[in-house]
Amino acid sequence: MKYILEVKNLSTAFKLQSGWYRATTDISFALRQNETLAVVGESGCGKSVTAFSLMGLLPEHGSRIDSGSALFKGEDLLTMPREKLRKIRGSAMTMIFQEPMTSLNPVLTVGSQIAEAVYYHMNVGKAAAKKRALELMDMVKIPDPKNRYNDYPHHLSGGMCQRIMIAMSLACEPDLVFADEPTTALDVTIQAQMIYLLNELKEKQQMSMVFITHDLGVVAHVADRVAVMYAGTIVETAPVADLFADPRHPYTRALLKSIPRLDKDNKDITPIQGMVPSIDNMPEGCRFFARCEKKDQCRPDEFPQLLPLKNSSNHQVRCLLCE
Amino acid sequence: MKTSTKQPLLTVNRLTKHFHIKRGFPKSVSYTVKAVDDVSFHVNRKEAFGLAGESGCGKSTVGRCVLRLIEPDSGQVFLQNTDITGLNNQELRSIRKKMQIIFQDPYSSLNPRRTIGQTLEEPMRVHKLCENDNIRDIVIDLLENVGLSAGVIDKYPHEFSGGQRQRVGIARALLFNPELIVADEAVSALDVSIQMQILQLLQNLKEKLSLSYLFISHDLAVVRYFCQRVAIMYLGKFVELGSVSQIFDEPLHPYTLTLRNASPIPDPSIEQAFAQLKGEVPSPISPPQGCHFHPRCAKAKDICSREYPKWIELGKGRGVACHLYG
Repeated sequence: MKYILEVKNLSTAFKLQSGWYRATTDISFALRQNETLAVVGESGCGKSVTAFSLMGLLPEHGSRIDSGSALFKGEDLLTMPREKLRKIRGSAMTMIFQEPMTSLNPVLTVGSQIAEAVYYHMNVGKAAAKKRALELMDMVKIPDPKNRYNDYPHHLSGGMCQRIMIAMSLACEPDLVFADEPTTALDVTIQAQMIYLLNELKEKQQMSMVFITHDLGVVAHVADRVAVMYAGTIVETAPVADLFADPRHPYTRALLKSIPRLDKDNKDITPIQGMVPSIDNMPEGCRFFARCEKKDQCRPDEFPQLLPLKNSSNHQVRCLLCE
Repeated sequence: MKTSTKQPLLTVNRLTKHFHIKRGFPKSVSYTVKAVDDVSFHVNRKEAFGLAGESGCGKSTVGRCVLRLIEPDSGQVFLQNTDITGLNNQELRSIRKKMQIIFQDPYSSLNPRRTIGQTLEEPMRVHKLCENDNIRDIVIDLLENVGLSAGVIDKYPHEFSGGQRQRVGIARALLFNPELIVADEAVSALDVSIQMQILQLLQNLKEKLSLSYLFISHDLAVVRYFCQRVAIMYLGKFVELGSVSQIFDEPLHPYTLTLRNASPIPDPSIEQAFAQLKGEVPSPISPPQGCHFHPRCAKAKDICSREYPKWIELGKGRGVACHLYG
């Protein structure tokens, strides 16, 4: 089956005072149609940088893409002329941002912000754009869209603003949506509603999604596949059931053991000791080495590749000890 | 009269705090927000008592009223036998040595222009806790207690990661050997792996220094891990109170059940029914008549929209405010 998005060896670097440093190294993944890939990791691990690199939203100065390719329906996003990328962005490929309250324009009505995307990308008149915006608001279950259309973002709650963001990103029936921590700023009951809504819309629209989050609980309920990131690299990727049932990378295993669960009394929890290495002080070899349980059996000088497991080609791990 | 060993460390009795706000221009209208409405609970010695609920439910206001960082409107707060709501400033200052707070945001709760040493030494000077020559040694001891090295004493907050800053925040709370610590979302801003490190540090300190915590958090899984008892708040009121296993394994109040079902469990083999949840938290300016939760409640009866349910004691320290159990 063909892939919607195929990213190979993507590395992005940022300029600090003392030179260029890589925020992400050797990111490779592929996404099928109607598949959700959850990218999970701690803050600073490069989840958002990956999405921003692919969307062409990196700051013009002080950042660069060192290597890699990203084929979106057969065309490379990274070498595409800006004008062409602009046409794809917001229509075929869109993004939902983390902070719904600050990502919307405070001086435009929420309805007109949705209609704007339709107007620019779909070659329709203003009246048709408005009609489509109202449809979309209904689709994301905003009660009474006609009256809400003329509201400003400050009139709405965080959950409602996030619905507007989702409506905006779905306006032109995208093939691919990047969702960057779309539920992190919301309360749990609203988060649950958003997870339900996104899952439902994904089925209806047959779209693919890259869902960026730090919350393994959310991952378990939205993802088809999971990519676990640590210090700028993908350390493990697997179908969601396999990853939770049979995690292989020592970081994934440690992470799953370190989160408390609501349905258990959490007697066997062990935190991961130590800290993530900083961007200007990355180890040469495996980046998890210093915190790894099995470091006595391993060596610090070799940077492991992301390789499939022997008996399961769908499950890839970046670890010298895993086969 | 109970014996002093069984007496709770902190007793909060019918605590109420209403905020008055003005809205509108030019003819502004005054509204009352019942941030905390008739809340009672106690915290035992060496216990972590959790306060959980969604944003805006008043959990932080309770924490601040307990320390009198916000003046409560009515109700009493007893630390052992002392009613702190009646104290004057001087008495309050001396009793604050026994109760301290850890703030949520380790980035903004430390003064960026002061070294860690300066931040930690000042309160010791103000309260004249020891000879000036010893202060530095005590601070170094304290930093080692929270897992930082002595070398950090001359560093500035920006040189630390979030987890390390929260350790400094904990060290600051421990300066006076307090008996009660209010931890207001103390681990919410931290990454998962660091969150556990800090929770275990707090746990170890509890054993070592016989501390009690009032632990405020929106994260139910963290509350379940860290606390022994928990109260669930909704729009300024307690809806349910009990031990963590009672509350999370057999929730009685429909809101507790809603919260529990909405919290995603990190296990894809568990099916969670996210579809059943409807509506949002109403504005605290105009909470619904009757039970505040009834518009979102699947089991609402007629009486729920008319009367706020009474607090029902169910024994074993468990209580609930719901007409279903009346």
